Amino acid sequence: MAAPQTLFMPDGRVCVGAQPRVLAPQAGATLGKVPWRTIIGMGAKGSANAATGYSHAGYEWFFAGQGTPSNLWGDATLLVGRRVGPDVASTTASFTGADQYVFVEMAGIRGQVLWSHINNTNTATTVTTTAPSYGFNEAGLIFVAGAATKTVAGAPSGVHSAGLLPIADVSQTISRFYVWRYVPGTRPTVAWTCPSAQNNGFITAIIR
Amino acid sequence: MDRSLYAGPPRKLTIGQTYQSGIPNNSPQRTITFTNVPQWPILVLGGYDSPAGVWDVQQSLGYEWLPGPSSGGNGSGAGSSSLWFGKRTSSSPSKTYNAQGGAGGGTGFEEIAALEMPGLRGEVLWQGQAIGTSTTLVTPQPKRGVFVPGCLFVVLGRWRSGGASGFSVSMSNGQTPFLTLMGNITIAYLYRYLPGSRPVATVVYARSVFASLQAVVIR
Repeated sequence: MAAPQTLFMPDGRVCVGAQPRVLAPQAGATLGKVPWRTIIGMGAKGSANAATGYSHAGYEWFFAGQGTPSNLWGDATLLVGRRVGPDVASTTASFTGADQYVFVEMAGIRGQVLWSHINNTNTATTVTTTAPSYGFNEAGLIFVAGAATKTVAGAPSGVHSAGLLPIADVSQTISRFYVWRYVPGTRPTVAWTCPSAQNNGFITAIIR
Repeated sequence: MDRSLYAGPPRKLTIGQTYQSGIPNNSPQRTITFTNVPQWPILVLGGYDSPAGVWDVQQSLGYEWLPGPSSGGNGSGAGSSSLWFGKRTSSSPSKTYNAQGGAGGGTGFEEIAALEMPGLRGEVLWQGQAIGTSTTLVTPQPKRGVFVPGCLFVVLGRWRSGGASGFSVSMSNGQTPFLTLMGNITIAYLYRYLPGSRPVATVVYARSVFASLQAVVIR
């Protein structure tokens, strides 16, 4: 992962996605480090619904979109965490519902979801996500993609359409989560390859 | 002059609503026919009797559909409500579209309403949800206000069949809704969101089981 670490741009603006920090991807529910910026996360479950609850004293969380809320397929749920307390204790964060979570803390993100889409399949190992019908001509956005697959199947892998700069890539045993810088006006897609043809749920989103 | 986006009377140019009981297992599908050909962004509000809300909207309308937050859907028997946004992608959209509710839940009830709303962008700025088994549910309070003009505050809930009857919604800041929708299992109250405010909605309703509620700030 070649992510810029410069927090401020030459004109003083915060560099969106700078200093990304993955908060200990794990199957459990507690953040591994004390966060202090906006967090974009994903909950993954091999079947049924992921990410059903949360508790965190210093942050407020919300479920921005649910990949495949079906009893039959896997689910990738997008979560947004906004810091609301001056003192955040990592041990107070807990989440329920998903088999795996990943959280990426980064600079310059507000946690506003401008566009999202879900794709799913129970029969194919490859899926290309649906492109936005319109590009967003706005600077400082990120493009995220998450995938959940069948339990104990292994992590999916995704290849984005050209032109996106990586911020984070987190791979776990049944899920994967990418964060890229969104290039204004583009309509990116992600070509996923999954180890199993079953229970595959995907979510893509453009976030401010 | 109030130039707020949602000032004045509600602009429900198109409303489609469907309700049906006894939905068969696996992938129930409902078709909504609008009363006129839509041309503006569409907000879809849906409720389902078992997990997990409206999970797919077919692109049969000349619109691109974006999934918004879903309440409940926790696999424990609570139903859920879902938001969807539709952005027009065709110069000549049709008047009908399909929406699919949660699969695998046995028989159930599903309700969907669709509103055509000029100015709606389909952005999710905040969401909070509550799942309960009493006859009162209170939405989480935004910990910080959202300082963006032109937003909506949507209170969307789903109750067990018949539970939406006899309900009442009160807002902590005294706001009144500009639009209300009520079905057999689903209620939706739409308010103009006052920038920076942190409202709480208290909802009293008829049945004490399988209730889920969400509040969403959207633009």
